[in-house]
Amino acid sequence: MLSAIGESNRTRSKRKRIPKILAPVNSFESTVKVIDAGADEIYCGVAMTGKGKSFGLYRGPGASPAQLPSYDELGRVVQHAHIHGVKVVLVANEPFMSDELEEGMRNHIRLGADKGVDALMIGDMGVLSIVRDLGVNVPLYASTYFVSMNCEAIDFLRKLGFSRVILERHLTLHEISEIVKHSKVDIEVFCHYGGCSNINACCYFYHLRMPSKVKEEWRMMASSVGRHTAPCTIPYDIYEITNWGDKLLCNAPVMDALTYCSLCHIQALVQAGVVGLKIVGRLRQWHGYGGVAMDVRIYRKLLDRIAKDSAGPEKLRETVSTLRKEYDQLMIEECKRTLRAQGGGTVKYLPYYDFYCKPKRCIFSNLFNAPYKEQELNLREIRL
Amino acid sequence: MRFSVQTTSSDLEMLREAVSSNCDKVRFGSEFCEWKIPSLAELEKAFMLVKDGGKDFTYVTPRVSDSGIGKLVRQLDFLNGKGEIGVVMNDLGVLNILGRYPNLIPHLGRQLVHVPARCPWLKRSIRDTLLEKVGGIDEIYSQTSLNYPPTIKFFQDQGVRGVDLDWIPRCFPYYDLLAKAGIDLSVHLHLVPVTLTRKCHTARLLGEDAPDTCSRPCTDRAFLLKNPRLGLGFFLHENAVFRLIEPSKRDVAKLPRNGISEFVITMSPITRILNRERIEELVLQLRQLAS
Repeated sequence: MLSAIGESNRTRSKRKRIPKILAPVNSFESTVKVIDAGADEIYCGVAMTGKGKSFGLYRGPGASPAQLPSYDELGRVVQHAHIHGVKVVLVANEPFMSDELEEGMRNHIRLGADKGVDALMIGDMGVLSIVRDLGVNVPLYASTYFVSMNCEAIDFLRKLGFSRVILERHLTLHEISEIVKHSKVDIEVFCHYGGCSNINACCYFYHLRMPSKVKEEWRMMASSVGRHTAPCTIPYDIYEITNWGDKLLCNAPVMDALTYCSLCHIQALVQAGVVGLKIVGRLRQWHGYGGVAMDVRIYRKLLDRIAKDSAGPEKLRETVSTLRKEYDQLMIEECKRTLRAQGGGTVKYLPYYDFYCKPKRCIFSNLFNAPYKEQELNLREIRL
Repeated sequence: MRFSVQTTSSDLEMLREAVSSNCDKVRFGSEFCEWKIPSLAELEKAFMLVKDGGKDFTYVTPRVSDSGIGKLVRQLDFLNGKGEIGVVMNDLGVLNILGRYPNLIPHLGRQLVHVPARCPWLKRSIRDTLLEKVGGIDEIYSQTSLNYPPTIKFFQDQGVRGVDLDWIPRCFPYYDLLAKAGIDLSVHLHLVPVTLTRKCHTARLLGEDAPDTCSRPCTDRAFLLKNPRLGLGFFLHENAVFRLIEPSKRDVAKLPRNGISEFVITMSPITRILNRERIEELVLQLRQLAS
């Protein structure tokens, strides 16, 4: 039986040409939550076998918590998603392949296809050759690891058999709009979280590969959500290199370009005609404080409102402002639920506006826009 | 040993220094920044300077948006009329259009080759992870994404004849395998790119407003970034962050004997190689190390 939310997700996307919301999952439970929250498609990986089990670049070893634990779990995820009219995209998108990893990748693709996934996300020409060799008949999505930034690159990928291309996240709204206009494949963009200040496939700050001692120190140091926890968000002493020696200029999180949220730009993305809006975070918790499901819910509500009427800019601003408050309310409820489960205590949270809007954490803001001022954190405390 | 000097597109004076040095080839263009792609007039001038100086010319291109593609098409039209010329490309879109120019030789840039060993903490990370010691996975981290035979075949089928790589000694044995596959290797000395952005870190640091109005302060400015917890420093130049590896005699000895068609010396405030004397000094030094 179709659930109300699942059915409406599917019909809504068909009826209004509203982009699909893609949400990450890493377990069956998270699948249930994000579909309930309104995701149209979900994407996931699976802990690989063979040497792929301990190999991994961006998401740590293949068996990391970013992945579903097994192909049986993938089967359950696919079954549940399909009942609710939600597509499942299996990721096979490290931008790297080697002879040693080939067997694990072959199994991954074969088992994924057997379990009924609706698409494969690929980010490397070697992996593409494996898919072709296996003769797997599943639509192919070009991962952001191909760093597609222009129509020629998209045409190149189309000729290779990709039916959807996920754009590099540093494009402007105008550039995205032009690409959609001239491309013969579906275009997907990142819309929320991740904060990647650098171009994915060209970034070698493998966060999950940080030395364990440093990771531990940063965990201790991170007194608030999303701060000072990655090599691209921490402050650096910045020295100018001169002929007379290096001169200390300042201390600043110089690599943090604050690319997190696009709520205010969603209508422009709808008008541009993008097919998918991707929420980032296979390693994030899927519900509760700052979880994926809450992000899905807020984007779902916004898209539904845009679908109902083509709101003008003023009305849209009002809607976004209301949604931020709703998000905070949801967060407070989640925090209280967590505290009840713990049997008491206190939790601190940062309101949506203070976390995203005040420091201008906008994905689609001016390319060079990012203030370095340390923000006064307006942490709110919740206790039972 | 053949040496190529990579110059920045916004400084013709630097180009003149490179042309007058003892290098064999000169690279011109922008490897990382789309907004530093030279104008057609600058390219024409640079091409003439290099040719008049009796050196081979290679054109270097970055990752680009559609407006960058538009700019490059006019330049590739010009270069295609000048005989066989190598074009380093870092974008699949540029690879796509290079197929239309029979005289231009596609050369894979560093951004189209994934090299896990560019990660600054890879060694420490592997040391931390017991599984990798047991599984022998650490060797995979020394490879490049081209070491998988179907990948290299794919790019060769697209007409690619050469590839840019970095001076990372742990990778040298795998460079040898690429050379055996018939690929010309160009190895960049000193600067290993660690990360790259379009939201230019230098521009934001120096208060530039937007790409179109950027005053290109990065032409002669670069920065050292240090965080005590990380215990290592990075270099910020243009829209990329690098680490610096100085070539040693021991590492020179590890280089594959055949297949390396050139070493690339980058003129930059980080390497402090900014004039003819410094280029010649380095070339001599490396030739001595090799002998």
